[in-house]
Amino acid sequence: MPIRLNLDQVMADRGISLTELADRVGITLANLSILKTNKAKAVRFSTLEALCRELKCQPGELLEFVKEK
Amino acid sequence: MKLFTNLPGNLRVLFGALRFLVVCFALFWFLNLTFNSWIEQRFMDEPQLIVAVGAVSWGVVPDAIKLQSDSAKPGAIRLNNLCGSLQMNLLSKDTAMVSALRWTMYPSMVVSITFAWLLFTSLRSVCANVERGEVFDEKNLRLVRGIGLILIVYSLSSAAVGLWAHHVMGGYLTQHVVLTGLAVPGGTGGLQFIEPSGPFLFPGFGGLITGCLVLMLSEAFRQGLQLKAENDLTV
Repeated sequence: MPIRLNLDQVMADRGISLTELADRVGITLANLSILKTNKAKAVRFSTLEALCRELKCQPGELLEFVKEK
Repeated sequence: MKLFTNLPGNLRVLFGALRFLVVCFALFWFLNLTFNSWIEQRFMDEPQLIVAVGAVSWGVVPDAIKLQSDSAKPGAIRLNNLCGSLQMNLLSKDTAMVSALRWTMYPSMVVSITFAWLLFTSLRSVCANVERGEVFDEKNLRLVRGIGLILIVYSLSSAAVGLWAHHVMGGYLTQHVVLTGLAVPGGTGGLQFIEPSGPFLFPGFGGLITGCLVLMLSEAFRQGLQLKAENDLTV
């Protein structure tokens, strides 16, 4: 998938665990894990908004476009 | 209501029970037509296996049977024809009658039992899938489409079987049976075979319309499957 979510890097920078972030954002640990491992096909704006709010970042810091070779 | 707490589960049990009853019905008739018939023919002087064949009717000569009403004028109420149910002895020595009876009964039994079993099996599988939470998937879509097609094909088959039975039994009655003791038009004949008896689930147009409705429902399932595929792995 060309769109990547750099969630693990931002989480490490902020020093927040997966469980804590899942609680704060309001999604299940399983779904957050799907996001972190880039297995998700789509992200809702509401989820992106919650992630940016809790991680105190911009969407551009989380999302990255990687050209497929 | 407790019934709706686990509706798919309750319906799964119901359709499973109905499927089991269909098998029991088929087994009962198989044993009746084989072992019971053998026992009757071997040990009885007059072997008998009386079966209900269907409905018959005959026209009535006007005024042969009078209907009187205390509120209506004479002649306001008339009897046009009489209907009754026909029973025959399947173990009779009359080969023409037994042949007509077999050609009437067996196709309708085979059609009814086969389609009933297929229908209840499919319905049970759909309920089992829904109970597991698997509602919009390929398996269920195929099952729901199958149910719609089963109902349509069953309704057409039972109509065809009914026409065939009408032809066979009607032919036998016309050629071999006379009615006595009642004034009927055309002398002592005129006995008409209306329809065969049988465990028809959805006779007539009911099955056809229901089948079409179920096929439309399968289209809703297909669109639901598309929406689900789009939403899967969306966080």
